[in-house]
Formats: sequence, structure tokens, C-alpha cells
Amino acid sequence: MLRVFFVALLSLVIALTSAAAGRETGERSGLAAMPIEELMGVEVSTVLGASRYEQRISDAPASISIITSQDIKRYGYRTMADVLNSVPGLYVTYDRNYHYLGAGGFLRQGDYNTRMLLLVDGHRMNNNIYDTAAVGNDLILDIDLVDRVEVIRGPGSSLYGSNAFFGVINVITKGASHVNGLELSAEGGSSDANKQRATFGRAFGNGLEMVLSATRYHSRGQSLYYKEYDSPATNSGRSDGGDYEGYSSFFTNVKMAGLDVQAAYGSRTKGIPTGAWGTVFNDDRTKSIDAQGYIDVRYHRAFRDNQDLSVRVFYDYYRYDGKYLFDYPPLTINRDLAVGKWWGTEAFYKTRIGDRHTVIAGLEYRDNLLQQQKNYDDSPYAVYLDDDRGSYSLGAYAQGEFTVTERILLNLGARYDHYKDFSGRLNPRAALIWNPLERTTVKFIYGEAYRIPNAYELYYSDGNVTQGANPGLDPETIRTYELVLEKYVKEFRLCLSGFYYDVENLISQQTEAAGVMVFANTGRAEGRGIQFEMERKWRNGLAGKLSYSFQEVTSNQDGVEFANFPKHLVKFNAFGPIIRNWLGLGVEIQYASSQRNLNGTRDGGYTLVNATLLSEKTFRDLDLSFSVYNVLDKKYSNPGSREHVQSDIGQDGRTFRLKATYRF
Amino acid sequence: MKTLLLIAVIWGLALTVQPACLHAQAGQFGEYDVKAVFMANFFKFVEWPAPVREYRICIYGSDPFGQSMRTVEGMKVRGKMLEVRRPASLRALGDCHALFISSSERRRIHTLLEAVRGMDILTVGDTEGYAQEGVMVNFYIEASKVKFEINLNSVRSSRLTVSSQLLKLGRMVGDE
Repeated sequence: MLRVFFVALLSLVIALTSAAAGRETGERSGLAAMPIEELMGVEVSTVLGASRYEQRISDAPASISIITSQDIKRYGYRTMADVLNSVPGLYVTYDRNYHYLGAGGFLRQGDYNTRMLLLVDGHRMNNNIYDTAAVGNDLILDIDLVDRVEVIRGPGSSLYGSNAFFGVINVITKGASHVNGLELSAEGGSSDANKQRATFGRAFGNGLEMVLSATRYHSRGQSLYYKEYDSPATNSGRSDGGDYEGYSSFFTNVKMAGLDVQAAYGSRTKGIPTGAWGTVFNDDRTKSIDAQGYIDVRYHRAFRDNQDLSVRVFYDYYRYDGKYLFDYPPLTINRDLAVGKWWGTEAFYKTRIGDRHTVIAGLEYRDNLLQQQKNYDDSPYAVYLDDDRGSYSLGAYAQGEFTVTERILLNLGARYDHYKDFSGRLNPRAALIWNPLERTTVKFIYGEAYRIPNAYELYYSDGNVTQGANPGLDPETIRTYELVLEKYVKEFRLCLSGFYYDVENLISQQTEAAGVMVFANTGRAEGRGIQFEMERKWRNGLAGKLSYSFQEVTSNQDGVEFANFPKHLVKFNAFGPIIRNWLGLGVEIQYASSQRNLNGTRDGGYTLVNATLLSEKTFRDLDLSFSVYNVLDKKYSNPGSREHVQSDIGQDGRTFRLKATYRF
Repeated sequence: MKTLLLIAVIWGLALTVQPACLHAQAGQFGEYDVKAVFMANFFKFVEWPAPVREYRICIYGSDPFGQSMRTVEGMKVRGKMLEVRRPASLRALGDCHALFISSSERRRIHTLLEAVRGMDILTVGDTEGYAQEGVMVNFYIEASKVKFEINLNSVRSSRLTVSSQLLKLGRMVGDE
């Protein structure tokens, strides 16, 4: 551990000294030489998701990280999970079925990213059965279509209602002019992983903007070994051919005169190679199929005196089809089927009061037309669960940003939600944003958030074989205090933050006496942490960032120790040009200290190194990249959930990817 | 709490090593660098009625650029040196070619625009509503990119000639 600190400190000192040196030489930045057309494309730091309108990061009532499409290219990110793993304080674990996102040291086994709200261009992606915020290949948006990912830490229920518990991930897709033409992309890598994408985007003269995209991916997966299955009856612990994954997805966005129509659909199949839930080991018939789609229609209008009004109507569809091969005997396929359908509408209004205050207000109605869960055996046909639900919710929110003095901003907001099956709740957020010195911002933030139990936690049961229902669950709530210090120096950003939170009525999966897993409200949890971040861009194109975060979660119950959080996370990213603008190298180093597994053992922690060689405009509009992930071939694992016999699940060793993209 | 101490040390170090940064605004990473370069670029697209020896950018009100203006200060645009000034009073505005009016002047924007009328000055701002008030070019931010709106009436009622190339890049707004 000390070594890591030392390295972090050393690189910081080097960076700072070279920062001072860079200032003295006073070389002209590349920016100054840019023609005006190019300037129009330079990104500056703003955030859209923190207040539902675009504002400077330093004015936003939250601690924020932004990952751009440039980062995605430079560091060879393949999925949203890769992106989020590079964000200070976040960590993603993988059990070779799904990716699980931890924030603030919090990641509960057995649920599916229910405590982070995931938005794509403002559209809520968490489904209405499991509340899943999909961050792996089950996210139906191809990562290549992402323009920016805003990670807004802290409770966001005062704007977004349920699920915005530890934060909001707001994904902004590339606009038509960003794509500008026909783009074809192909990639291939380890385990025969291959992906093809075609995207067309154009901003027409008459104001019509259009993006159309389709992607297809398939990977054979890895051959895996699990010591827990090391017996002759289970292929000596070897799982061959069960780790496959494939998906296809479609995305389209059409904008014209204030009207914005977006539609997306994707379906992903993943083999489950771990023998989860007691399924037959080393048989490729056990798999998960997730499909999701939506259509979202928005109309936005700006009035005089800086007033904005927008309305939105959406329809969403989600389907999970799990196929599990059990040996009862005889060998039988057990099916888990979940179908969710919901629609909703939103109205949003923003105005400026006088010169100094910005006020927004909104209304949101969501109707869960269908929340269906079934569990049955294919043949002989036997039904264990057939649960049909519907529900609705209505939310109203308001937020004001008040300029108290030239140096002090006050941000106050609250949202009230009414649910069909749960009592209503008001979630407030208050932030005091103070600029004690120029280019220095201090934020004090208090916020509350909550999450209502989802259909899966409430009603799912496979006939009490492995899992039971608990319709009596109550919502869980959180109170968070944060202190954020941000400092901007010419090409430098420094950020120091600390947080404390207190969760009540935590919904958590428990194993009952009979060995059946049930979700229950399990009391309180407290978390605290501290985080340091620095980022720098040099004028010659070199860019780097370094972060360290410490986090700790404790329970008020005696003898309960929370699993699945690394106390220390260190992340380092650097990109530098090798041959002018033509060839560059991106290097990423991630350290996570050991995590406690559910059975009380600890994994060993890990240090991962990823590297990407990127050549932009190699030949005309051809971009080429070559990435190596886990360069050091480090053997490491992530804690597994209760459905696994394994306490921890082994992760990929060294893998590579070659990618080519051509724009016509 | 060894880690806390460490963080405090790092933070203290960071603060002390960078004392020269205290002049710029609590702006963003690069936001005002970009705006400064934009302003330098404007000289390529605007013609003044009288011959110009060197281009002068004036910043009026509390200065949000700070160090960022150094990027363009002394730079040559169309063979002419670029100068930056921060006049303290309205009377000193006569020498300016482009005048950036800070958002601190929001309350007196009318008086200011009245004072510079007829002086052949390209007025620039970055405050919501400035263009509607009569400022010729006003920056705004959209999708994390710096863009600008142009009040064509203000431009036309001056003796400046703005090239159509620049007009094409901006968003047109009318008077209130």
C-alpha cells in the first residue's frame, strides 16, 4: 500500500514541477493557432445531468467526473463498465454474467445496479423489474456512440426520484454533426471477439439532424477453470465454451425544429459458465438473454426572457429470458422470464428570475403497464412462479440556483414522489457553493435519496427452491453529506472531496435458515470516504489524471461486516503523442486493494495496466487502434454473489483488441 | 487517519506550488482560454472603418479571463499585433476595437452600450441575454462547446463590416 502512495505522491510532485516549468517557457498553445471552425468543436467542462440544464461543473451541486469520446478512443474502452472503472471512486465487478457497479464503497451482492440511475440523453435506462442500470454489453447503446459520460456523485433523488441513490450516470450521445457522414467500424480481439458497426449521421441544411446506427458483436469467451468444480464428474473444473457473448443493437435519433425523437433496441445473450444457482457445470445451454428498447419523443421550446419548456413522452420495453439447465434428474431447462413494459411523460420548465437566479420545475408520470415474472420448467411443463403486476408513480420537483453574493451560490431542490404501493416521500438537496479564491470552489452538499423495492425484490420466487419473495419490503433511504474542493489552474484541475452517508432500511439479500435467498430490510449502513483527483493537459497534447480514493462501509448490526468494497482505489491515466498527431499512446493503471468475499475470505486486490496505441487519420479518415488489456497478465478475481459456489470469480488475463474505423 | 494526513499534505502542496493562479475566475478548465482565442479570431472576420495599426481587446468589468488572455496577447492577427487592455472607466474605451463586457456589468449594460455607440467597437459578452440587449457577439455554451450568437441589428447599425463567414457560424438573435 505504501508503495502505491509513494508512486502517487511522486508523480504528483513531478507533474506539479513540470507544471511550473511549462508556465515559464510560455509556449503558444495549440489552441491559439486553431481556426475558428475548429474552436467551435473544443470542449469545455460543463454538466447537463446535475441540474437538468447545462451549467459549469464548478456551479453544479455535486462532485462530478466527465469521460469524453476522446477518452473512450484513447484508452480503448469497450463498454460502459470500462469507462466507469476509470472514474475516481467507482469500481465495477464482473461475474461472467453481468457487470456490477460500486460507488462510495457500496456494492451489494444479489442486486443489479439498482442504486445508480443511468440516463441516456435524459432517458431513464433502469428497467422496471430489476431496476438494472446495465453497464456491460447489455447496455443497448454502443459505447462508440457516446459523446460524454457525466458521473454525478451523491444522491440525485431531489431531481430524478428513485434509484438516484449514490449517483446519476448521464450518457450523452453523439450528435449528427459529430458523426457527419457514414462511419464503418470493425474490431477483433482475444477469444474471437469481433464487432461491426455502421453509423450514419448528418445535419441537413433545413435543420434536420439524423443519426442511425447498428452494431453486432460476438465473442467465443474464455476457457475457464474453477477449483470448486475440480472433480471428474464436472470436467475437472474446466468450463469450455460456456463464456460466449453476443449482442446486436440499433440506435436512431432524429431532430427537427425543437422535436427530438430517439429510439433504441438491443438484445444480448451471455452464456453463464460458472454453474450459478446450482446449474449443470460446463454446459452452454445455461444463459441470460436481455433485450431492451425504447422510443422517446421530446419537444423543446425556448421563450424570450430565458424561459425553457420541454415535454417528453416515452415507451420502454424490457425482457429477460434466463435459461438454466438443472439435473433434477432428468436434465431439465428451467426458464426465468421477466417482461416489463412502461410508458411515461414529463414536463420541464426553466426560467431565470431577475438576473441572478435560475429556477426549474418539473412533473413526471410513469405507468408500469406490465411487470411480469415467470419461472417454469420447459418439459415436463411445471410453473413455479407466474406473477403479473402493474404500478404507477407521480413525481414533482423544483430546484433553484440563487446567487447570494458574487462568490456564493445556493442551490436548493426537492422532489416529491407518490407511488401506487408505497407512501410518498420528499427528498431534498441543498448545496452551498463558495468561491473563496478565484478559480477555487468549495461545495457543501447535503442530500437525501431513496429507492423503492423493485418487482424482483418484492415478488420473485422460484418456488422457494433458491429464492423466496418478500412483498412486505419497505423503501430504503440515504442521507449524504459531502464536502468538495475544486481548484483550477491554467491547464490543471485538482479536486479533494470527502463524504459521509447513512443508509436506513437497507434492502439486502439474505440467506434464510432453509438455504433460500430472500430480500429483506436489514437495518443501517454507514459509509465514509475521501478522494483526491488531479488532472492536467499539457500543450503538446499530453494529458494525464491521477486519483486516489479511500472508502469504508460499516453496519450498525453486530457481527455484520460488509463485503465487496476495496478500501483503496488508485487510478492513473495518461495519453501522449508519439508521432505528432498521428500516433499516440494511452496508458491506464488501476489499483484496487483487497475486497472481502461473502464467505469472509479476501481476494488479493489487483493492479491492472491497460495500454492503447491510437492512430487517428492514419490514411484519410481511417482511425486504427490496438489495445492490450491487463498487460501484466495479472491473475485477479472479483467477489461473487450468493448464486455462486465460488467465493470469487476469476477475471480475464491479458487480452487484446484491434480496431479500425473509417469515415466516408 | 494516515490517509487523511497524506491527502492534506498533497492538497497543501498543490495550493502552495500554484500561487500565480489567483487572478483568473472560477471558470473552467479552458473555457476562457477558448473564449480568448475566439476573440482573437474575430479580428480575421471584422473590418473597421478607419485603418488599424494594432488590434486592441478591452475587458470591461471584473475580468474573467485572467491568465487566459496571455495566450493571445502579443499574437499577430493579419500582420497586426494584438493588445489587451483593462480600462477602468468608460472614457478610456475610445481606443478599443473589441470590447468584452463582463457579466459583472449586467445592471449597467444599457448605459455601457449607449456610451460606446458610434465608437466603432465590436461589443462582446458571455452573459445570457446580452445579445438581446444589443451586444453584438455573445458567447454561450451548448453541449460543452463554446458557441456565439450575433445581434445583426447592432452590427448593422455600426460602421463595422462583419464577414458572412462569421455570421454563418453564429446564431442570429434580434433585439428585445
